[in-house]
Amino acid sequence: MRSLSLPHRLAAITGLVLAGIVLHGVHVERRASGSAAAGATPPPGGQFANRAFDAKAQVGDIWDAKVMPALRARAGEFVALRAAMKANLDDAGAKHGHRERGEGAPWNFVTHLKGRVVAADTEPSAATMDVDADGDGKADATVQIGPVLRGTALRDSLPFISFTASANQVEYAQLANAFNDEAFARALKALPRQGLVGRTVDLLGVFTTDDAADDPTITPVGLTLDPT
Amino acid sequence: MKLTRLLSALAAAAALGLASHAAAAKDLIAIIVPSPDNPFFKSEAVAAEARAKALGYDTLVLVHDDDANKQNELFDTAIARKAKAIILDNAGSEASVAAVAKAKKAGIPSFLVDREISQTGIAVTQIVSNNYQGAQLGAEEFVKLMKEKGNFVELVGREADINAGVRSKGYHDVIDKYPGLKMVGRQSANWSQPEAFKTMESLLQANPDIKGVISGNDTMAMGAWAALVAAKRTDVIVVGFDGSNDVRDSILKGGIKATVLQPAFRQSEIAVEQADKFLKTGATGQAEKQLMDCVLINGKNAARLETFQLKK
Repeated sequence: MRSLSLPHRLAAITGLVLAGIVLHGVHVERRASGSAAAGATPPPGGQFANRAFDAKAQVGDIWDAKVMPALRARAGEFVALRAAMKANLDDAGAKHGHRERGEGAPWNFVTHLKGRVVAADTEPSAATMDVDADGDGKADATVQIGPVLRGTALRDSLPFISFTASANQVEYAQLANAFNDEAFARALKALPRQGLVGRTVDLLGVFTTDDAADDPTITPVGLTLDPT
Repeated sequence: MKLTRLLSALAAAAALGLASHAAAAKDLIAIIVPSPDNPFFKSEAVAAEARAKALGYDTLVLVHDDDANKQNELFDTAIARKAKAIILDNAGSEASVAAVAKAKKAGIPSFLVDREISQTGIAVTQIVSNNYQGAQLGAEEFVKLMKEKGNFVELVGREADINAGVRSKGYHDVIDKYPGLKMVGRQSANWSQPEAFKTMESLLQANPDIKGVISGNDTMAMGAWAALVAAKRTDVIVVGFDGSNDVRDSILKGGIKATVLQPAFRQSEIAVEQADKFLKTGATGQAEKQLMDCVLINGKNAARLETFQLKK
């Protein structure tokens, strides 16, 4: 097309446009009759549904070799980390966190927390317990204990997992779910549901935040209770 | 006297010439979007155009109506008009790859908003609305409102639109974890309000015991709500998706319970800002694919929602 003279080029463009108009008409007609005839309801995932993609297997493969070492290496002790976050969120994030998106995006922090359970809500599937880390008797963090773990903090705290490297947002999201499922199976499945309040908990976990003043919601990857 | 007049005429002509030259020399940004009949896409185009003009560009807004063939023609137009950059909300994740590649070959970088394409390395950036995350937010709110139990129906969007499937997947990956929640109907209403009204009427007749409706977008949620009002079933919990002003008003009146805002306005501005940075420095400083999260809208924050922006 570049080698054509201007009149030729114009003629070619006109041709393309005319062809486009004709195609356009045909296309719309086909689509309208198609949807009216079938009343098609797309399956969950639509065109992004990919049976060959196995997020669970991918996560299982890297958990011990890559995930846990990466998290242990960045973990900050909770009370000290909270103070560092209040002093300068970005400095604390650079040391103990990760974010794929640039400036202004929330940080995903890794923390080691030891404290006392002051409240527990084990009725819903997305069960939680509130933990006092600094000994003042008041909750400093909410810890998710599942079986439903919310959010994507775990996936997003891992520097070797990126959206650009994922085929699409559904596969990227499936990774996040698989990380949460793995965390539940490894760290939380054996946890009792009764008599949690008053016990001491020791955990390694992750949380997402862009405001150091908010009490974080932590997703644990390792958790032990004191022996009763 | 004559000479002075001639000189001033010449000067004026020269000034005019300079002025028109300066205007013509402004770089052009082409903005290619789906139909502005949907206020979401209109907001997208308006934001991109305003930001581009503020940064000193001329703009050309083109509408592809979710038709990949038409989108292809519009890329030819943008190339022929020698656009310096293209801002695009694409007409299909597979079908748009060729058009974006064609622009790249012609030396024009593309900056995508809202929906992603199926390949990387062709567009400079893809600023993607996290429809999956948004659907999970909506579903989590729905689960809470339903108190984790009861019968519900799902209204699904138009099959050709990738987001219909993505949102449905996000809904189910949350809701299906709760054994007390039972889906008794699932039907497409093609994003359409009148269609959702009819679909809701028939779903309600077949399942008079439903407690909730989860909808793939706000226009269908509005249609479903109207049908529920007509059937005196305003006890049914409805959750939508988009963050439209219509649903905001319904939430504030105690009708529809929640929706999910896609930050369309800010997303377009960011795309233009990254295009500007790329044109001036050769890089955006960001990863190609950037997810922008959605925000839950319910009774607590609905009053701050205006035209796809949540005011502080």
